[in-house]
Order: sequence, then C-alpha cells, then structure tokens
Amino acid sequence: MIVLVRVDDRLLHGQIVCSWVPYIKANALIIASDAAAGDSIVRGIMASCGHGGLSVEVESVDDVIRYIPAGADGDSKAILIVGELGDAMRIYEAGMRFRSLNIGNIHHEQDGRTLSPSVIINGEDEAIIERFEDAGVKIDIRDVPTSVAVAYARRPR
Amino acid sequence: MSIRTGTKLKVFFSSFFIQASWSFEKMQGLGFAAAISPAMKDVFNGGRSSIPAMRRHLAYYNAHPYMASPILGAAIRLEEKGRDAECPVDAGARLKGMLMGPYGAIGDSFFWGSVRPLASCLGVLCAMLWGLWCIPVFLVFYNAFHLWMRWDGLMKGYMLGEGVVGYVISLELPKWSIRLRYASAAVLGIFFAMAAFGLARPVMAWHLNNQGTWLFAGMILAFISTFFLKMFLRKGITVTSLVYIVVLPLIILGAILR
Amino acid sequence: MIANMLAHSMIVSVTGGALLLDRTAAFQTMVSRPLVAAPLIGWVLGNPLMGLAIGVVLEIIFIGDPPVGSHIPVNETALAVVITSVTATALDAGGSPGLHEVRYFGITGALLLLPPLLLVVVPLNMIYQRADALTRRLNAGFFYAAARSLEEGVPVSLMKENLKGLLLFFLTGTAALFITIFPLTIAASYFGAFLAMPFFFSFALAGCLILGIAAALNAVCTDRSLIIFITACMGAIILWIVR
Repeated sequence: MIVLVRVDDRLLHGQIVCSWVPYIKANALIIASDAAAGDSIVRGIMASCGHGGLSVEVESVDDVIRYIPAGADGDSKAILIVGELGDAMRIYEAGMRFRSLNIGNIHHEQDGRTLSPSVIINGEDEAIIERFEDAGVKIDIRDVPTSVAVAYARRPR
Repeated sequence: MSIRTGTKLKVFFSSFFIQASWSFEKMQGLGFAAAISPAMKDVFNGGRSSIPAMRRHLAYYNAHPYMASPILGAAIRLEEKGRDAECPVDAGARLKGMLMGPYGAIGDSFFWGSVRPLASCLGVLCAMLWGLWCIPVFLVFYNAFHLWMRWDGLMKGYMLGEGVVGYVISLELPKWSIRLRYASAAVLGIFFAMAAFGLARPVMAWHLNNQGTWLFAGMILAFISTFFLKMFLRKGITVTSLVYIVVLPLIILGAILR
Repeated sequence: MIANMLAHSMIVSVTGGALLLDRTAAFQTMVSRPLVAAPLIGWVLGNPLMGLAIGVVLEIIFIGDPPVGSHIPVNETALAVVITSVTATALDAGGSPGLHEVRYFGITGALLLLPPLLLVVVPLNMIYQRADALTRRLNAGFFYAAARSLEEGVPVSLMKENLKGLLLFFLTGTAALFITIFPLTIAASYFGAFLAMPFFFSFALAGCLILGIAAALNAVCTDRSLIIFITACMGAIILWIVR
C-alpha cells in the first residue's frame, strides 16, 4: 500500500530516509524516475540505501504505472517518490488515486516562484498543482514531517 | 602523474569547510568546488588551465558533509583520467551529481541518525558516572567515525575512482545504522535506570512508609509517561511544543504542592 | 553594572557564535552539541559543572532533529549557550545563600532553573533559525560571484569566496545570540532572586528528563528498540538490587 507520494527532484536523500521513513514506519521506497531507472549504477547505489527493514526499488514511471497498483498488498507501507510534478500527474491520470501529494524539493530557478526555500516552481508546476487541487488532492508542501506545511496560494488571474 | 601528498592534505582540510557557504539555491556547491580546487590546480598544472575543471565542479551539490570525501576522492581521480583521455572529461562531475542524493541518504541515516544519538546517549550516561570526563568520551567516540570517513573516504575515493561506489556499498552503512540504534537503546535503558536511582535516593531519605511500593509506583509512572511522550513524538508533535505541554503543568503542580 | 552585563553578553555571544559555526559552516565535530557547548560556556563563566548539568538534559531533549537537506533544525546550541549564561547570571543574583550551593532532591540549583528558562528561551529559537535562514539565502551570492569570475576566465580563490559564507554565518549567529542574551541578562540579574524557589521546579525537571529519554528513544526507534531498552533497564535495576 502506498502511504505517501512525494515530489522530490533529489529523489532519494537524507530527508526521506531519516525523517519520512521513521515517521510513516515505511518499509519500502519506490522511486519512479525514468532517468534513474535507466542508469544501472544509480539503481545499484539507490538499492544499497536499503536494509533488512527497508527495501528500495527504482522503476521507470511506466513500470510503476503498470505494476504497482497490481502489487498493492495491505502488508507493506511504501513511499512513492517522483522526480517532478509531471510524473506525479502521469501516475495519477493512469488511475493511481492518492489523496494527498507531498512536495519536498523542486528547484526550477528560471522564472521560478519561491514557495519555500526548497520549493521553487515555474508556470507548468503551478498548472499541475492547480489541476491536482481541482481533482481533490491535498497539496502538502514541506521538507520533513516536523516542519510546518506551507500553503499554496493561487495567483490571481 | 598523480597529485602530491601535500595537495591531498589540502583537500582533506578544505573538506571541513564544505558547508561554509551553504545556500538554499546551490547548497554545498561552492564548498565542494573550493575543496576540490587545490587538486584541480595539481591535475591541470595550475592557474588558468584548471578553470574549465573548476567550472565543471562549481554547481548545485548537496550530500552529507562527511560523505563528500569519497566523492571528492573519486572526482579527482576521474578528472585525472579525463585529462589523460581515459574517460569522458565530465565523468567526475557526472559521478558527483549521481552520488549526492544516495550518499546524503546513507550519511544522514548513519551519522546523524545513528552515530550521533549513540554518542549522545553514551555521553549523558558517562556524565552521570564521571562528570566532565564525559566530554572527551563523547567527542572521541563520535569523531572516530567522523574522521575515519573524511580521511579514509578521500583516500579510498582517490584510489578507486568510480570503484568507490562499490566500496561504499561494501561498508553496509545502512545495516550498521540499525545495529548502532540497538546499542543506543541499550545505553538509554541503563541511563533511565540510573536517572531513576538518582531521583530515588533523596526520596528514600524522607523515610516514608512502604518505601518499596513508592519506588515501584514512581518507576512505573516514569515508564508510562516515557512511552506516552514517545508516542506523541512519533505522531509528529515537535519536541519544542512538548516542552511546553510537559513543563508548564508540572511547574503549576510544584507550586500547588509546595 | 550595565557595562558589566554588556561585557558578559558580548563574551558569551562571541564564544557562542564560534560554537554555532560547528553546526553547519565548519568541522561538524559536535562541539556544538549541548553536552559540550553548555559546559564550555559554563567554564568561560567560571562554573563548568553548572553547564554540564544543563548540557546533559538539553542534549537528550534535542537529540533527534538532524540537519537533513535544507531543513534547519532547532538550534540546540544557541539554546544551551543562552540557558547556561542566563542561569549563571540568575544564580549570582540569587541572593544570600546562593543557589550555587542549594541542593534539592539531590539536584543542583543550576538545574532547577532549567524548566522555567526553557519556557522563556525555546520561543527564541525562531530568531536563531531566522538568522540561519537569512545567511543561507545570502550565501548564494558568493556562489554566483565565484561563477562569474570563472566565466570571465579569472582564476579566483574559490576557498576565499567560500569562507565569506563562514564569516556571514559567524556574524549573524553572534548577532542573534547577542540580541537575545543581553536583555535576558538584565532581566535575570533583577529577577534572579525571584527564581530561588526550588520546590516549584523539581517536578518539572523530572518531566524534562523523562521527555529527554522519550525523545532519545524516538530518535533511535527501530522494530526492536523498545525491547532492548526495557531489557537493559531491567538488567541495570536487577544488578543494582543484587549489589
């Protein structure tokens, strides 16, 4: 079962392993990224971050869409990490419905709008966030669970 | 031609300042470039010819500060190979970008999540036994792990190049993280017992009736409140708000019972 | 009087500012942990054991908030520095018997001031975090300056640019400490005598210790931590009773 979906352009790093995994008591990390899945060295290093109580899988976005909902047993607690908002939308539209979306790190510094020190979004990101909100997905902008979530405010049109 | 020993030492000392100009936008980017620059001057024979290499390394970068060392070593080796046309010129910069996320995860959970709490637990336990001597115990224990990674990581990285990936995997740091956490829990259990005795001794001086029962009840109360507080923390309530929730009512209770 | 307090605040702020550097900017040897920082400040003010008592409790309360990625954790170093400094002032002002000597429930007077001081000082954490965040925003400038020079083909010393960030960390940290320590020192020297009511605070202190143990247990939580914790605790108790 996937208990958290997170957008993080750094994919796997300290905030996830040290803060989110113990907070959620997750025992699996699924990283959905075409770039990472295509590189066998990256896959190897990421998998080595796991241990007996935590499995790490690196899959392409399409593979996640194909296999993850089917293998969603009630036993495991998994965190799904995607590299960018577009990938999250692809997964959502393919039928995997999640109720909230955590946004941890996005650095689109070109013409970016700063929501928090680690979340700088561009126009495309704004559009996707608003589509998520319209679909009833709760947007949760924070780096670690103990931080205060930043509210997303729509730009007046 | 490989880099000189003096340069290795320079890189080693510079690695302690990897976070000196930490910024939200580039994180340790400048720190990493500053730490690798003495080696780049060596590899490319100084001055202007090292500028392209420095530009390659002056980029967004962030990992655990100690885990920068194996990456620094490997990047220097790959820059040498790139200069001698044994691999693409940007191999070092690419490896660095690839490793930073996972090495952040491994380093954060090993050093911040396991070694530091264990050192703290040992430190407070020693403070109750030996007073100020706990400070050297704490610092030596912690920095043995720290300096090992800074120095040995740099050397192994430089020796192995991209082979450092396999080396760090072979260390099995995530597994050791869990083992060190078991050790911390044990030390903490002993600390809990000692803190309870420390508080019990003066209470026993009151010569209450049924001392044993009082002690037992106090112990159980302490146990239960510890687990309740731990549960709140687990739920994501911050320790700073718990300070208020715990301390304020107890001060009032103290005033009433006076 | 005021001049004395000003000097005291400046000495503590500068020492504390140097200690703060160990958190992020340089070394990370953990001299910035309360267990080391508090006795060090205590030593500067002439009473390392007072600092140690404070440091032990703060060390375990704030054990589990590591600086992962761009997250800025609670500044336990600053809290330790401020609490130690203010305790020293309050104890000196504490009146005739001097709380230095007071022992209540086997606990030194220094520790009994910890609970009320925590309530006052914990909100100040915001100021220290803001100072940290400000530095981390401004530091990007040094990166861009270095990048520009390299692009123009100027072989700049990257380390020099890098260390400007360290200087900035030091300045903002020291300033944040000073603006909080100075008023607190004045307040403590007037209200120190008022704080000499040890019984009020002994329960709260026990609460602080228990909170610390809970925080530590939470920080090292695994599937088996609880069993190990209880076993070790029982083992220690049985050993104590047998002996």
